[in-house]
Amino acid sequence: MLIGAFAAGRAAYDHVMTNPLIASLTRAVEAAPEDVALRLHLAELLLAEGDGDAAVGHCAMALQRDPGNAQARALMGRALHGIPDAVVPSSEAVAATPEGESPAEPGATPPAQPPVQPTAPDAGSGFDWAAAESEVEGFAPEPMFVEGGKEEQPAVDAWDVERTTVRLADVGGMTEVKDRIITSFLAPMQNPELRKLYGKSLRGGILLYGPPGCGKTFIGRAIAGELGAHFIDVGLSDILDMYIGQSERNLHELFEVARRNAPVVIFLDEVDALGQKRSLTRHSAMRSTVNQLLSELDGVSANNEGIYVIGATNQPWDVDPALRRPGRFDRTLLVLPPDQPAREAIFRYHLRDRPIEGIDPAALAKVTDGYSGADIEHVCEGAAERAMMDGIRTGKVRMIGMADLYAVLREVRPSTGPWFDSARNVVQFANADGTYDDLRAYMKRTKKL
Amino acid sequence: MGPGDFHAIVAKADALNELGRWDDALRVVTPVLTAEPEHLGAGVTAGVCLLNTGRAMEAREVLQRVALAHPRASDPLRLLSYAAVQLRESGTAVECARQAVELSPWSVDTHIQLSVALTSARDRPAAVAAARRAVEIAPASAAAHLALADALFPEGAKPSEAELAEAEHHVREALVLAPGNAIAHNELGRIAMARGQHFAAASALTSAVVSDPRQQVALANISMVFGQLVFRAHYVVFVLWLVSRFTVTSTTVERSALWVLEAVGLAVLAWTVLRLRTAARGRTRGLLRDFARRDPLGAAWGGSLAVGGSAFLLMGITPDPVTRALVPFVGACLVVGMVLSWIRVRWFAKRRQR
Repeated sequence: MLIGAFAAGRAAYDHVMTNPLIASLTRAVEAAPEDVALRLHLAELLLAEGDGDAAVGHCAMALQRDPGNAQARALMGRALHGIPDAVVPSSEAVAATPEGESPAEPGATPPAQPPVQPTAPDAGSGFDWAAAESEVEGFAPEPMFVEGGKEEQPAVDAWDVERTTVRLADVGGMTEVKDRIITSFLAPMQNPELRKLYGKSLRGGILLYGPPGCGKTFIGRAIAGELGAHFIDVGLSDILDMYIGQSERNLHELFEVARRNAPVVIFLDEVDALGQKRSLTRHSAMRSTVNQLLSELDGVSANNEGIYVIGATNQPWDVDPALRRPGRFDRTLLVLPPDQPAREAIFRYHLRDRPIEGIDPAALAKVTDGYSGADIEHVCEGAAERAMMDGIRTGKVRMIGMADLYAVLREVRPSTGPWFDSARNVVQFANADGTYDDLRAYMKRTKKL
Repeated sequence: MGPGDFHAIVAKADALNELGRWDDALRVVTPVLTAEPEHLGAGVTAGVCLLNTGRAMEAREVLQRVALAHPRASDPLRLLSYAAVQLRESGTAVECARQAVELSPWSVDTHIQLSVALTSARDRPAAVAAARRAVEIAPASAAAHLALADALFPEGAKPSEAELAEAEHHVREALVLAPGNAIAHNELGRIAMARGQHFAAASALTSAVVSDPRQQVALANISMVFGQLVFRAHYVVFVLWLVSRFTVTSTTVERSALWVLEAVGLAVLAWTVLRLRTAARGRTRGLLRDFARRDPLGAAWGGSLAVGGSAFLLMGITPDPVTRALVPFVGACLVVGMVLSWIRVRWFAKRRQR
């Protein structure tokens, strides 16, 4: 707390010299240190000035006094993430941001670097490291001492390790989800100094759950993009194998590949199948797959530093509770059907390369509450098909119009309905520990409960 | 793709079946069936997928082909029997199950299927005998104990107390072997319902719902229990109201007698609420909400009864003219409840016919 207070005070002092409003607010905060709202206002201003460190200090003190303060948490997330107030993108701007482009602005604090990055050459030492590197390029001397035989390494990894360019800014709308990802996952991972200060390890994972077709995989990719980490997308069929013990070997190999490529995000899709409740599995083969997953997540035989595991599931209630323990999927995040700005962005995205006329994405977004991203894609497909068939019938090519989209919308119902029907019972009768409180709150808000 | 590959693919599909991914399993195994339509493993796996996705006709087609090609295999016959039960062809179901038992007399699954088939054919003694053999072969199989309980107390039957007691014994055995078995908890609830023990039934059925919240059968049974409780409450309020008519006349209101009746009503209400809360273990509100969704007429009946009951309780503390006005009001609520219950019974009957 003292360190935070000192940092905050010091940084605020620097700004006192330049910004009279910050100066007077700093004095007010010193006079009333218990006033959380005032402190947060000061933090906002500091962040807008580009002094994230001081803002973090004030946020930390605000959170110490009021740990549940959502504004403080959100501000802390932005400050840690290096997003000044002035450059927080609106949902429309976010949706329109091109792929791979971070929404940085001149004067903004540069975004924090991924946790494990090669260190920059020492510019002040006078030694030309770049020249030296080019001299020894391609020259890899054998080690002086060799103990035992060389460990056999596969020539080519069996898993596709990709470098993803998708960022959270590419996820349209869904600001609540993105804020939670930043505060609970990305910010600690991207700030190694703070992480060290608070003794936070670079391990653990996050479990994304929600109805199908709502962008869990895309968010997983975006998290990898934000971390600047490699990305391994793992499906159920990649792991499951006929021979007894082979599924476990596949899992082990996956984690070995990940360790070699750290920092890396492993995205385990359908984690309810791989990590199904052992009480539900009748055959011991599946149980040992779950056990293997647990042991890999714990890093029993190897170091998991720099490995972030993101699980995605439509059925979180089938996931073995052991997988939710600390160090495994210790954070859960509900990914709901897209909100209005997100739906608007999705409509724009799926209609962008089609011949359209008089399309009002905002109006479409308004009437598609509860539709998943996949449903909206289906609607756009249907509208295109309708216009095309009309063209074939009349022999006259015409544009896709609002009438086509509305006509398809009358036929396509949100596919998330059955999921919420299942979820309703779980939330009502199996939520004694409060695991699904966020889902319950959403269902109550949308009158699904 | 050769026979070695077929084996690998079928094993993978089996693993997917094990996870309940029926559609995925079917997608995986279909190429094998296309290449070799009579492949035993692929046929059986596809049969399981199809039966679990409610496509009994298609399952029968695939399984018949495989059974003809492999006359010594019991699995296709057992699954054919299962398909026949789903298609309400009880004669075929029994015949196929008997053949499967002949081929695999030591398989607990075949005996269980025979019991299921005989139950569907309404041959209860033979079904019980087949299930008993299953329990003899595998006394540590929860499925065998549940099959015996089901044979002793099949749906729609009115068993004796001895049969109910034996069924309960086997359900409890199954619960010892598999404590979180939602089907076993549901069976226990059914047995309690048959005995008229509504609160015990609500407790067992709540356990079933908590064990597997997506189990619709247990929730439907709880709704039935609530319906029966509403009926009981209607009866109690009706009797109290009938007696209260003698205490409230056009000239006098006998307060002391009215208070006694209301005290009885309050005691019954408190006892019911307390027992229900204990049985539902903090899930009363959710269960009532589910009841309202499943049985809106029953819920409306309960609502009219609640209004009438509240008016009845107010009669004791209101001035004489209001008390006199409340008597016909309570009666009207009871009549509305009766009409709603009549419509509800007709609606259920129609639904059963469909």
